[in-house]
Amino acid sequence: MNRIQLLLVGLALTAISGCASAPSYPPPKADSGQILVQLNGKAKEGVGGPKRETVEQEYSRTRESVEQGKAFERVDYEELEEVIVVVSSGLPILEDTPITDKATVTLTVNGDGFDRSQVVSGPLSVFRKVLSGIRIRNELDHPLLIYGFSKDGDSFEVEVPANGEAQANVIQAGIYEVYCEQDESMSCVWHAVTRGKVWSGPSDEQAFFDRLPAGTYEVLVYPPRLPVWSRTITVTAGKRETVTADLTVNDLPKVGE
Amino acid sequence: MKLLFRLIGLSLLLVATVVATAGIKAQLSDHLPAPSYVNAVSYKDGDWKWSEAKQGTVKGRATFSARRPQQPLVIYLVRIGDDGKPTEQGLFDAPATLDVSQQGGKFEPPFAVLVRKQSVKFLNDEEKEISHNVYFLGDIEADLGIFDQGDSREHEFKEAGEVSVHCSIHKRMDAKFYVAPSPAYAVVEADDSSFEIKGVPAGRYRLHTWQKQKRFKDFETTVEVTDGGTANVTVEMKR
Repeated sequence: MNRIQLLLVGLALTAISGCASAPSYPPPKADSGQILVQLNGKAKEGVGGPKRETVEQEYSRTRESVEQGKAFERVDYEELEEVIVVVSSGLPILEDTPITDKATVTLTVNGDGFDRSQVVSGPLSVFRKVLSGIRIRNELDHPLLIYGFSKDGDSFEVEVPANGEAQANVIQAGIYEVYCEQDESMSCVWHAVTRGKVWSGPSDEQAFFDRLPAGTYEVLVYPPRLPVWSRTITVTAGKRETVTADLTVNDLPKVGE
Repeated sequence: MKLLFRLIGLSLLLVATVVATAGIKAQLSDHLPAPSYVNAVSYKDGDWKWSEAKQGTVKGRATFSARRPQQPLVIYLVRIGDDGKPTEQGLFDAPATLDVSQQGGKFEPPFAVLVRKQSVKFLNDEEKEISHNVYFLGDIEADLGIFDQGDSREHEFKEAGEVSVHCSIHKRMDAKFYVAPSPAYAVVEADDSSFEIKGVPAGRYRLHTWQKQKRFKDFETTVEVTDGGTANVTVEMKR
């Protein structure tokens, strides 16, 4: 096989692998539209990405202090974890589609605390009442009291048995700060949504919303520790709207630079 | 002669450039970016001075309907008018600038209660050549930029509210500030439930609470402060 043949084979393999990794979504149906939110983590201007040698590694290598090195772990803007996307409007969600793949999520407590820094839950319908809820799993050998408050003053409190689970529900949508009575160093943010569709995942994935009735929607993206990104999008039946959400501090007002 | 005209022409061009640059600079300085006060509370100060006002004290204790988190509780006063709405808070001296260290990839102190108009100086006092960034989210949003070892950034908090402080480079560098509307505040520490706010200008106030780790509904009540008097308040924190 000569060089040109090798090059062609390489190009073909690259194209095949590219196609295989690109997510495919069903085309929109005639009676509804879609929203595709592409997530784009961007490091602050002037700072290199996490792939260059970091101070964290330097600390670990010179054994000054591995623990001290952890404090210098850098944000990986190419793969931000636990990004939350919420699409909402006053419109009813079509009944033949699940509101979300994960209407109820599970938040786990183990020896390291909560297993994630933020969770999102979609609407739940219980006895004709719309709620939003999460399951809390306790992997510790003692019971826990988990509580939370939203900025609007709504709250919840739930006891979770040792090595057991409990359900926490709220009637009011909101962003709840979640804490544990037995370990105050634990904290988590719960986005409780009672009207809309939700998505959660890393920033190298895309948030796809299908079967949306034509109308105007608010798209909110909550990356951890970064400013909220928002857009108002008009959805037309039979069409897909694609938007790119920049997850960055670059758009904050620059003061004193 | 031609040379003279050219020289005059060049001089005029130079003067025009300098004037234009100065004009642009002046315009820019008038339009320096300001922080985004997302949910921050604005207060009017008026022209009366705390130092010249008759003063009293507000003291009391906090009660809790359930086990309280071992975290600070801030009790603060907002001067109100006859209509119950915030009125002029008066002119007060802001506390000294708070220095915040960034050594070891940590903000120190990681939590502070500030007073409106107080400044914070973030010092990049790392022992190694490490750059840091400081940005704020919450009620006040702003980006102080990236600064190298040995440099610092200072910021004056002009509005009241809750601010979370982060570094966009290092994922574990976080801190939290609460900016009180005026020096009329007290912090109820975890091992205590009593509080005292001295030197409060006489007048009518609304007492509020802010919890670093919220477990109770925030408490509010109206307090009258009289010249040389002490107003006693029980702050009831309930779920």
